[in-house]
Amino acid sequence: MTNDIFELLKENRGMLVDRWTTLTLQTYPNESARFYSKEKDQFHNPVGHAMSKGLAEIFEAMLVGRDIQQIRPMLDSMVRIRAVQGFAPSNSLAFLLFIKKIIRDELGAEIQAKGLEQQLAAFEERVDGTLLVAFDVYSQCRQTLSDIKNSEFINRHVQLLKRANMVSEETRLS
Amino acid sequence: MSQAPKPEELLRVSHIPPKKDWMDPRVDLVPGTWGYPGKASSLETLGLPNPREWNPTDEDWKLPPNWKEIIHEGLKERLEKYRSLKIFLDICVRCGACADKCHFFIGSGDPKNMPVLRAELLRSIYRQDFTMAGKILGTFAGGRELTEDVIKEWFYYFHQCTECRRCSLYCPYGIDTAEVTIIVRELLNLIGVNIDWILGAAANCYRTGNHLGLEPHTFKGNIEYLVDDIEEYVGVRLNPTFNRKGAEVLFIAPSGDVFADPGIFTYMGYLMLFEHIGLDYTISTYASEGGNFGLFTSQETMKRLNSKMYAEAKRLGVKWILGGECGHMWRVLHQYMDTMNGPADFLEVPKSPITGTVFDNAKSTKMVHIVEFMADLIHHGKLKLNPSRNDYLRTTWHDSCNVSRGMGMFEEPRYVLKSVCNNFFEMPENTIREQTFCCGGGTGLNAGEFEYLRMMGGMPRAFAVKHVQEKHGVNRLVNVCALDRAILPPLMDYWAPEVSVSGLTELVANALVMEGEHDRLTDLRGEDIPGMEGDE
Repeated sequence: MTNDIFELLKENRGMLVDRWTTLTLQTYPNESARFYSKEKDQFHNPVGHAMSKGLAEIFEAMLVGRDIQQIRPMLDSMVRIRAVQGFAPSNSLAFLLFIKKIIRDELGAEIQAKGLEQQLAAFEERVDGTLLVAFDVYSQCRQTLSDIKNSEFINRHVQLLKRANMVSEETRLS
Repeated sequence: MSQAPKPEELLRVSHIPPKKDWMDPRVDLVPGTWGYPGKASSLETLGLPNPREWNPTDEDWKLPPNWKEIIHEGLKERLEKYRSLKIFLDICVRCGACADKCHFFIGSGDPKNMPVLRAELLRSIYRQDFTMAGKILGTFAGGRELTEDVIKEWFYYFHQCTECRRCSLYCPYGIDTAEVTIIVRELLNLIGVNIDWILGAAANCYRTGNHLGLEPHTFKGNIEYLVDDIEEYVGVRLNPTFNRKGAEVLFIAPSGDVFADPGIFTYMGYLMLFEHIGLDYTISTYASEGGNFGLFTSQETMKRLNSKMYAEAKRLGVKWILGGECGHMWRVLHQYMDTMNGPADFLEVPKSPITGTVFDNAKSTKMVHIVEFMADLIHHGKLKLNPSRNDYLRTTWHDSCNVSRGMGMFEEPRYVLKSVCNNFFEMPENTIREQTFCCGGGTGLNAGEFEYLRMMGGMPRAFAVKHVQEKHGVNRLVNVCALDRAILPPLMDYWAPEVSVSGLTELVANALVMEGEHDRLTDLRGEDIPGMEGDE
């Protein structure tokens, strides 16, 4: 028996991450959620694979208190997917907050009995901070999509404009 | 009073989507996943029905008053004409083998992108209207009534299929769901429901001979511009001929290679290859397009666009046709051309003038794929190559759906690539050859407005590339399809940055040792070849 929230979470890591993954994949329609959970081949199921791997990594990172630079690539693999799947921005990232509710539902009574609420608040701050990093990643993904669209438009016409002497490499670069 | 939730309430709403019955045809047109409608002028050029200005976000799609009858009769006619269609609609037992094989389903998680369910969108109408069980039992027999909402649903979901046929590979009955998509798009065209990216290109092609609508002098000018670049980077001046009667070979490439980056580097490669082997060839400014957007419109449009190739071959009096790196151009050629416009008896069975190889596989269509042609040249030692010029590239091969799954060309391109490039790494086995994943934007889905759909559809392909990028340091994705060359670069920019894209002939030409060339310090893109800078 432990009196440390981080130890408690570590002991229950498998169950918590499983629940977190299941709940996250349930944000997709029923049939898709089933496929994303069931298919284990990472190339046949990139979404399910990225989400289950990413959530396990993030949970671990929050337990040991990794810095933003380490967390960012873990979030990237998940957020990059969610950013193109037609979710509202809030819906894209809400899955990161699911872990708070899962912990309270599963371990709430034990946490209260042991008087670990203060420590739980410290862990939850890490979740909130992770969400903010995810917001940066999401925003950058959408910016990349917008940049791609702009440069596709330019590339489509630049040959013609160059030949008509209406644009030069210098003006394009500027 | 405002009904909007308070910020904290955002956390309390359920993020689990409500259950929806697939039989409900209503769709949300999610931005970035549907195409702008075909312009009236394009429909008029092609003589297609119901030209008008309309918008998919409007309630009223301005369908003809008797649209239901037109669809019913259209389906009836096609069921009689194509036995395959009737079989595909009758025999599916909904085993689900295809369900999770579609890149759009895998990437989007939208159940209506499961091939079985997408086909069911047509099958349910067929059951209701054409089978006894459906006529009597209706919904209980899996039938649905044909309504305007069904048309809108068809428009949305049958433009979320790239006809790549990956699903059909896994079907125990061999149902070709791509053909279901082809038929539904044809039915939609009967009532003027279509997208501009396809119709505009088809109309341009019908009018001027290529998708962009380049007129002969512009088409020729663009190629001469590439000839200038070759002179600058290679040091050899080439003189391709246009519309020259009596040439041995007519060369036809996808027009994307004539004007779009990075296809233009592939076109430079074609020109250098032909010079290197002394091929007696000519380029037509009328049959100036290998691609055929008629395949995505209707059988009749496809036939008309395809016929110009043979008409030009006849007019110019060539012996046979050589085709460039393209995807669906070869699907049309391999599966439909011969019965639509062939056999081309006025041409000769293609025979390589350099090696003497007779291409028996093309004895009816008289058209040879450039990769087969190059593989034969290399096999006979007819190309002088310096593969080390490509040493700065670590390549992988994307099997384009149409030439790989569509016509079984797996080994030839790999043989050519390995002959001209020392660093080659395969992607995982279940993502290549027959099982290859689509780029996510074929069949006319490369329009700018499909940006999110392509990112979802191309995700499985991109993840396999990312895997070899991380494992082997791959930095170049090579393929033989003009649409791939347009679609894969932005896909890589998003999912696997730093992986560039090129055609195969570009790399062949990088390695080609041309007679009279100067020191090759740059590649065909005009970029310094690492390791060659100091050789000067």
